[in-house]
Amino acid sequence: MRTREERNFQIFAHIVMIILSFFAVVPFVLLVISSFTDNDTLIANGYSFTPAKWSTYAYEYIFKTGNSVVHAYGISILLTIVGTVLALSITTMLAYALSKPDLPFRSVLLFLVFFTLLFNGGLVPTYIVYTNMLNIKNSFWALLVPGLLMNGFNVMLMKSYFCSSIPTEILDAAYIDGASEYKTFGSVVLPLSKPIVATIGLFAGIAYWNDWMNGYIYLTKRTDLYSVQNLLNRMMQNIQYLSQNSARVQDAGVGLASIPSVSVRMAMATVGVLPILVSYPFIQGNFVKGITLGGVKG
Amino acid sequence: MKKKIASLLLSMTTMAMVLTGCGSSAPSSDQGATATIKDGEVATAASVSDKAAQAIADRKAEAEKSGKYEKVVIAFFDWTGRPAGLDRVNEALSAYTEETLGLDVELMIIDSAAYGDDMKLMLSSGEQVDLFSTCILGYNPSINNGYVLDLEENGMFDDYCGGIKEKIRADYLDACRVGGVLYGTPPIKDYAIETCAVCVGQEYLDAIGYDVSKLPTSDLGYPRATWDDINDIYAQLHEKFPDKYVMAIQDNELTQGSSVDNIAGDYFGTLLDPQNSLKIEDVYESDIFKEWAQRAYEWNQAGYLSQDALTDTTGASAKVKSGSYMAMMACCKPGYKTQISGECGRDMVVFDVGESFMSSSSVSSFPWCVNQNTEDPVATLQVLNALYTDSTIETLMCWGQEGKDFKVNSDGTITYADGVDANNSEYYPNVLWLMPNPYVTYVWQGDPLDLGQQIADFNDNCTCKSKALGFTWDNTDYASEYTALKNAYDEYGPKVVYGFVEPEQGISELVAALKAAGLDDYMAGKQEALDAWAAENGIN
Amino acid sequence: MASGKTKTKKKNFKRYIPLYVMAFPGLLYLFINNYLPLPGLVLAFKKFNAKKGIYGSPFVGFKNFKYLFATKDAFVITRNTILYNLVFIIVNTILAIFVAILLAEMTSRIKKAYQSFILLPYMISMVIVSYLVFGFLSTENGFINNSILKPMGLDPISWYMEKKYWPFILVFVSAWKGVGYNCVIYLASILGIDRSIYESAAIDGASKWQQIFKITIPLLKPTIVMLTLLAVGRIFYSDFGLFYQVPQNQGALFSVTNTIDTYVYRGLLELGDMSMSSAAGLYQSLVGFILVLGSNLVVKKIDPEYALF
Repeated sequence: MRTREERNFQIFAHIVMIILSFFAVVPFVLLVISSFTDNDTLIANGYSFTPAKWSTYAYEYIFKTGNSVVHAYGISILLTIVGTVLALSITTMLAYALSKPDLPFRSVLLFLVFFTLLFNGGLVPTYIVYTNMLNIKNSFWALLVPGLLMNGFNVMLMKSYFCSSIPTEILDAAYIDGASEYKTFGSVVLPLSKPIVATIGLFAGIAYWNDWMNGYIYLTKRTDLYSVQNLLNRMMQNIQYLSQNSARVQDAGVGLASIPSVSVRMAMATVGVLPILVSYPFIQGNFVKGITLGGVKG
Repeated sequence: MKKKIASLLLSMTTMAMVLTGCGSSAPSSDQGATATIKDGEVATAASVSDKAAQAIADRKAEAEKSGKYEKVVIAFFDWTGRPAGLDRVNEALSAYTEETLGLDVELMIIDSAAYGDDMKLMLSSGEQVDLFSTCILGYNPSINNGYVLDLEENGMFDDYCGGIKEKIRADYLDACRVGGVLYGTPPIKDYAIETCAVCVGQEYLDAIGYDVSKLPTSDLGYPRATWDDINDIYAQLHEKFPDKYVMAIQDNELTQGSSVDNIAGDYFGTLLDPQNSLKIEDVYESDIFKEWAQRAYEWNQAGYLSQDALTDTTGASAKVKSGSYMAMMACCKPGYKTQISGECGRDMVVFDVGESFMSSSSVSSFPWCVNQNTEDPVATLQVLNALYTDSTIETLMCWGQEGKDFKVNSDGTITYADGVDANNSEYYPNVLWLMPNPYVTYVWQGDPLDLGQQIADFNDNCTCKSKALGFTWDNTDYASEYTALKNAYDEYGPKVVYGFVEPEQGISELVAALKAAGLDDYMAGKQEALDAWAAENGIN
Repeated sequence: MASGKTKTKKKNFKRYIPLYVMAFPGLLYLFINNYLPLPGLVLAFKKFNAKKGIYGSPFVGFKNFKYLFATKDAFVITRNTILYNLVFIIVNTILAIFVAILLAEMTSRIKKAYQSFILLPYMISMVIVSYLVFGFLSTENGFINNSILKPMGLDPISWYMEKKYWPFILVFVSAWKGVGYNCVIYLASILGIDRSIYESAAIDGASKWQQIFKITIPLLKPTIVMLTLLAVGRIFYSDFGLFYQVPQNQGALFSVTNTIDTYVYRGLLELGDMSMSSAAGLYQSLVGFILVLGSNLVVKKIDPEYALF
């Protein structure tokens, strides 16, 4: 009887997930198809799953214009790996400390973390801190550090997981065995926290992969440090600016003439998302394994 | 070869000088004045150039001592970001300016998308940017935020920018004054526009057998047409090509299709008759707007426009290029036919339906400014002066290095250097219209050699010049009204402009919404500022 | 006795040193990234002038806030911002938990693929989303008009002119884009639940649905409460792309799409005034902050375990 119920549940779950996946994937397919559609056809006939005229010109444009996309992929991958590892390390450690109910000044620290979720000093003051005080403009650090290294939201999520899902008995047992706080954290807490570490790792990874703001602001001279998203976003925004202002800024249209303005945006979105999509399941699998291994060794 | 280029450049500089000489109000009387000035004044003139020469000599001496030249950073934008060949161009520039000005020059080119934000950050945080274009950033906001230096502080402008005063007519220069203070110098370009240039694909006109030659020719050499002619053409086009949209309509009926002066940069309170009157009026209640609304409504009813016109943000020329739209409206100027044909990917016929017009903000829309934070204002001003007068510097800035980025054709125009094209070019900023003085250097292949002269004539011959030329207004005290007005316009304006509502009803809704958003207060504020400005400048 | 007390205190404190060491990098980062620039908030009360710098610019009191309230639209934009956020909180939370539970309970390996798929929309920027939405809703070429309504013999709809559809469209887009992301959070919490609880429940004869409603959801409560509290803090903010780009800034839709962020943007884009944008941000944060403090207090009264701090 239970197995039948179980089977019904599984079927129900599959149906729901297939519907949701359909909703998620269909627009994406449209996106990819539009990127392979001739630009003039797109403007004339709108988006279509069966375009009248196919074209790879948008991709030729992306890969030919400006910096090398392949180089930018390299930067993006390096940035995402280094960033995710660093972000995870400092987030987990802070969250673990904050998860201890008896930690002195815990409320104050929690409040300080929470406060950053709502208030920030604004772009200019932040910029001044990073350029004038820390001098990271036009360096790899500029992509890595500002805004992305840790955020309060992830700390709160992780802290909440530690509080609710790690039984205190296990920790106490570790202390009684004479394990230090570091050792407990590394070999008891982390292995038990795989789901949340994977989740926060995913969030941090996506944030690094998708970020273009840091490059936009801090890399004025080192365009060789552009990540894929920097490169694509700049192309995209330039096209947007050109097409929206071609009526106002005289001569702006000249720059537009050779750009496949609509299809290239779709191609850019595809180029930005596809690699992470393809590698996501693979990375996630290995990533979780990595945490487990690291935890056991630590 | 080298000699030939040098002589060519020389002749071009003299040409440019002649050209701007023609542009200035009365060159001959100027010369007369020079002949009769007293000895004392000649002495000051000499000491002025002495001062400039002295400053250069001082910098050179300083560089000799320290082994390093001081640097002036010039910022502007392009469409694709920092060009690959920029370092090379900067080196060549500095090599030249070390000799002539005793300093290094660095161009900082940022792409258009980031320029506004990046500049704001750099100007607010004290990073080195000495000279910058206020395009995108905005001239008024730059003044408001305190980014810019008073160019005439301590008589600097007279001492070090004599060249600019020769190149730019005094009334254009004065047009950049805000509250009497000169914060920037305008790029030399077309300040006037020829309104209502209706561009139609040649092939479509051929298909309906339209005889363009029966129309008279306008001053710019384009067929001169009336709106009746255009409506006639549209009707025929629609009949012949029922599957295509006749016109790619844009929200530009006032900016490019009328001589209404959007005084102080917005249409919330305008000069309806800018040549003769300084009375601020609501354009949306005027006959001019009503006519446009009616026209658009008729076009829409007749099926000339796409039903997605309101939502489809693709530019008009891109739409025409796609082949499903046949016509568009823009504003034109000398050389426009070539430009628009390139944009639309087909031969276009430009019908001149409007008149030439110079609005109050046309000259001061994006002048070049000096950062208030610049370490050596004198050096920066000397560089600014050189940007308007020195053909070597301007050539490097506009076109890069000869032989590497461009080559000179036998007719004196230039084109990509051998083996270079639009795809692999390492330096081709493509923003000639914001350069300080693009007419002191070469002309790109396809443009007439005397383009500079044509533009200068076009400006000088403009029939409808706004009386308020040079008036600007700081509307930050009216920020609430402005924001509310902008929202009200976005809500009710576009559907009238694109002809989606019956004009009478649409306009009354729009007018009511603007009134409710505080249009009257806003206009009163503008009028007050305008009156004060007019009194100060002796205009009535 | 007194000395004994200090001794234990000292000893106790020593016990916490490793924790502080672990917390240090994170706190240092917060200090640099968030607290050092924080004094910049005074800009909201100043008239910025680059010559004098942020801290030297003259104070103008509350003048920069005026434009937020001195408008007849103030009510509409505030109402839209709050109502949409409330609906988003409810819809997105329920949907995310539902999907997370399904995924957690699924045995098939395909669930990894499902998870990747529903995360897809999150990876696409709002600008692109707005093009895709236009692809579906455009009057002349859109799929809904051409491929669904037309074959059914229905009249095409001018989607961008009819405001009655937009509350649903916006909620749909928000859920569509966020479900993958949000469900990952709940999924982690569910996976953290001790499986033995379910096993013993199953032995006691609890059905699948009973397990979900009696075990999973109650154990998710801390996460739900926390995420909701955090969302309340941002209740005066709206996703600019969702409300500006997706409806293509269409005037006919303003009464249901205009929010604080889009309203401010339309004016500030051209004014370029830093002090005023800073004022808008401060106002939004402050209201959110007060609301969170209030709700946190209530939560603390009911169950201190669930409080944020």
